[in-house]
Amino acid sequence: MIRSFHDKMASLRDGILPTCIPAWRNYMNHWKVRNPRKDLSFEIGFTKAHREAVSTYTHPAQIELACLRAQYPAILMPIEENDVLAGRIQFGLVGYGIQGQTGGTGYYIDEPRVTEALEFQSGNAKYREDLHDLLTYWKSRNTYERVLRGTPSEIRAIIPTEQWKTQPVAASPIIRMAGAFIDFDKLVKLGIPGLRKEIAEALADCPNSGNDPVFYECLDGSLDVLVECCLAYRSFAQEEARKATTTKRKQEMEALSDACLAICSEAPSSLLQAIELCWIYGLMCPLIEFGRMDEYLGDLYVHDVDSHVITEDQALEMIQSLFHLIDSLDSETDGRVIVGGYGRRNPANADRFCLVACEACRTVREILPQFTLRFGKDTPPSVWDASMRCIGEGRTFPLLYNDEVLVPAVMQAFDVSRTLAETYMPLGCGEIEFNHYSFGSPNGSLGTLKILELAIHGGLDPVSGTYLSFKSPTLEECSTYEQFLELYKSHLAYFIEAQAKYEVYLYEAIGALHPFMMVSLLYDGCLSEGKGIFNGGCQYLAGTLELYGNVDAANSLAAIKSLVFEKKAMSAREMVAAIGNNFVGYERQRKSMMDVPKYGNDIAYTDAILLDLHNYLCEVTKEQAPKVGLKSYLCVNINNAQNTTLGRWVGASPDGRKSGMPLANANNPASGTDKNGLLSMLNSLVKLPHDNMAGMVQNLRFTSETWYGKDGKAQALVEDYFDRGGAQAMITVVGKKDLEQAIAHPEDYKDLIVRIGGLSARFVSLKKDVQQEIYDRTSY
Amino acid sequence: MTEQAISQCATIFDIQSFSLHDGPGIRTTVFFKGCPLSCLWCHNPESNAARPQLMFHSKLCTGCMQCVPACRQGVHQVIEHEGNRMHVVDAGLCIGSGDCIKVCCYDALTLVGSLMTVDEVIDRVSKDLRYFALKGDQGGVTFSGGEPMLHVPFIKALVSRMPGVNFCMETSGYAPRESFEEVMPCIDLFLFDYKMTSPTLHTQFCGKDNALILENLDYLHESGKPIVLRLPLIPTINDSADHFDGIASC
Repeated sequence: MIRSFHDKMASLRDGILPTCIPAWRNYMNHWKVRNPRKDLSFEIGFTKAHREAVSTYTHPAQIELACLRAQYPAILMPIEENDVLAGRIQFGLVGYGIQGQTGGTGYYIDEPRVTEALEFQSGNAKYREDLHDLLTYWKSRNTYERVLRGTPSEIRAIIPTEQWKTQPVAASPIIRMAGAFIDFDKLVKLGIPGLRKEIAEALADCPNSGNDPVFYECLDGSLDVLVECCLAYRSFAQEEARKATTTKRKQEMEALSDACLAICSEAPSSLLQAIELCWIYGLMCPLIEFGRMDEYLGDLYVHDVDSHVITEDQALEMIQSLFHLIDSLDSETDGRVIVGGYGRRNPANADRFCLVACEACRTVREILPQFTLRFGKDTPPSVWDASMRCIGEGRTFPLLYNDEVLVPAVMQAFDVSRTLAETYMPLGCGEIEFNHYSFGSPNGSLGTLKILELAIHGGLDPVSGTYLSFKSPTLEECSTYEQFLELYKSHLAYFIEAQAKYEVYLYEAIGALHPFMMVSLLYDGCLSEGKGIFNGGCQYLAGTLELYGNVDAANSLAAIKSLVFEKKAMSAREMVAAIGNNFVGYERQRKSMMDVPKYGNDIAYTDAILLDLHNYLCEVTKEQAPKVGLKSYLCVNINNAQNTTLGRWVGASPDGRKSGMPLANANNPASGTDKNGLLSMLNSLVKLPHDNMAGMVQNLRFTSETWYGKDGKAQALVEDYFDRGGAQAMITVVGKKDLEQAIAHPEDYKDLIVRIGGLSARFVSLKKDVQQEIYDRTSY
Repeated sequence: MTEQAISQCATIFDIQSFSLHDGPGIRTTVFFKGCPLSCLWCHNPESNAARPQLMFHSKLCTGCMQCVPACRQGVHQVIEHEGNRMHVVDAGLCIGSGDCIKVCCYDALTLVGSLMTVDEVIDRVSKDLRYFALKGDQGGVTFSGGEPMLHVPFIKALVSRMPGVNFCMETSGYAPRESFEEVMPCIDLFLFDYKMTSPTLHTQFCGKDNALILENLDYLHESGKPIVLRLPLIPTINDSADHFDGIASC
């Protein structure tokens, strides 16, 4: 039976994988709206608007404004029955976005889904003609394709493809602009009128400044669209008020309607108005990071509660509804709500907001937002205790960031002042930027175990049978470990240099096409420069490079060093033959490789090898910034299930890992290899420095018996880990038995949330190999 | 073996960090092999025999059969059962060489218990010293097993080399009085098992009479040593009014 497009989408939302949808489907972005649009009339209208815009204008800002007008408020969706806020949205299969999770990057098309609509949807002849037109029009015009085609050949020769999910790659570009943290505090303070005033002043000054007046005119035009969005949501609220069956609901919706109207012409003067303005503005960026929420909402929260404008319960309800809206964006990763830490304008009020936000985190049992606590010695015990309570209830949030370690580390890594370092913001899966000042989109990934595989085979990839790197001597041709290590490092540097160049190319390519006006308006420097954020407006343009496989590579280097060169227990040829055959017929050799000490057991031999590799990667990456013209270029060691996907294309490795098996999760030990217990694992974790990179995440998992047992000893251990230099921790409280049961009876465990790495997920919705990788991780 | 040598090594089958249920605070528990009792409900029966023993984890076995030719004692055999090849293990033939363990890639075979010196145990537990005083608590080292009272000279030698550390002992109490007299100054807290009140039932379910155990308990109590009674509750075995009365009058 042919199922309708939206039936299939509904099935996906229910966590059931329909077999009729091709495996290449990206399952993110379901938007969680009750009555999604049933056809592609929006997409057809957007395409028409873009076509007209590019034939009328040449200025990217004018084209973008025309597209904003076509997209908003068309894609805004009605308020649903449990919402106390207005803010549902359904991005189109064609449209304007900033990264994959917002529909796509720049002007995008979801070609597989449009194709499916063409193949399965019914409609009249004109409609079907228009669907065909979508495909052909956007084939070469979508931003992703334009960026791909324009990649310089010298970069393309080294990193030839972005298809890292389906092909063995050593390194891969990631085309997106991820991590926009706009100045919400300024937005709340100035409101739309204040922003218009700033734009008007800058426009009036153009004859003196020499800046581009068209840019400012389009910024102002974007605010017109913002006002239309506020009024659209106002209409939805009025409709809900009319339909309300209780006095409470009617009053809520009337207050919401008034708030949406008020913010069109005034700066927010209530918590509700501030939330709505920030949310609606964010939808137009479009954003999936929500900044230091305690800072920009804290003052109005305290004002409203202390003045009895609203009760604490009403404030909590608003924040819960806001968290539900964030979850409805279904971005899978990102969705950061950051509270706590140094550098906040209003710590007292912000700390009060922290508590209500913690309670919202505890009670809104979704995988988003990624509630993040920055903490230090000034963090009130009440905030810490509320956070521990959330974690103990299995929320996987808040993610814990230790300012006492990270602020000095960020100063060192980025070479910035303490004041600037205090504005650090972890985005996405853990990359660090500065609030509304820097942009450091992670636009590349590096498979360090894959590169080791290449180094062993002299640049040849045994999985694909092709040379993915330059030709070099093989492991068998090396006479010392040091010689092999230098070769490996040279292969790493080869790809890191190319990735850095790619990062700059991507900013230039996308900056030329997209001013991202709503982001630029609230990013430091763009307004005064009169330029889009990636076109000269951003004051601190940076980049980050994601690393996968460091731990596995270090474990493998230890095996090579120990067995081949020190003990001479096996020849290099024998080791290469063993891994080449996936250890079939080489079980004894595999056992020897597995018995070499692994990172995560507080054994100096292997921990030192990882430390050396970590420092090398960090230093070489950092060196690229001045060469390519970025303010900084740093690596990150995070995870988002790429450890599983990338691992599929890496053959067996000298650490004893079998072919295709997952890589270690960030800088945690490889699954099952931490045999000396939790304390030894923590001792290993704290050996890696944080002052030469832009983010590293650590997963810890405890059973609830351990977490709650014995007068909080597990929590004391976590605090001690931070005191000793631990920078970050993501803590899951769940037992292996729960995971076993969830595998056997997923229907009973739909609410079970686990931490993958840089994101949390419903365990039962994960692919089987990811479930297995998570199950295999150690619980304490 | 000389008395000196006895005091310097013992068969240990596990050293477990971050133990939360073996005394106050965060503890590192040293598990000694060998026990004079044979309690029906023992949850680590691998601790009973004093010598190292082979353990076979059948669920981890993939049937690669590499262990079969590796073992010269014939411990591992392949048999045909209902049309399937099965790996069976005759642990009684094992001499503890570890040859089969060297070739098993799946951790299906482990040797429970290895001879460790006092120095080796001290090196291992010293890594956890910083955790013992977390949040001002009195964590430390716990001796368990098996029955640690079979290893008093070893324990005395170890304690003398770790001044300032808190030591607990988990014991069944079945050891000569003299052993308790000797070890008492080394131990800050005894975690003392009280398994069964009736001597007849104690013999039936634990393998030995409890008279010596109760005498040692009285001795420790009268000497003023801190004691926590450990009361395993085994449904249908010792969940009787008589046993509870015995606990109450303890």
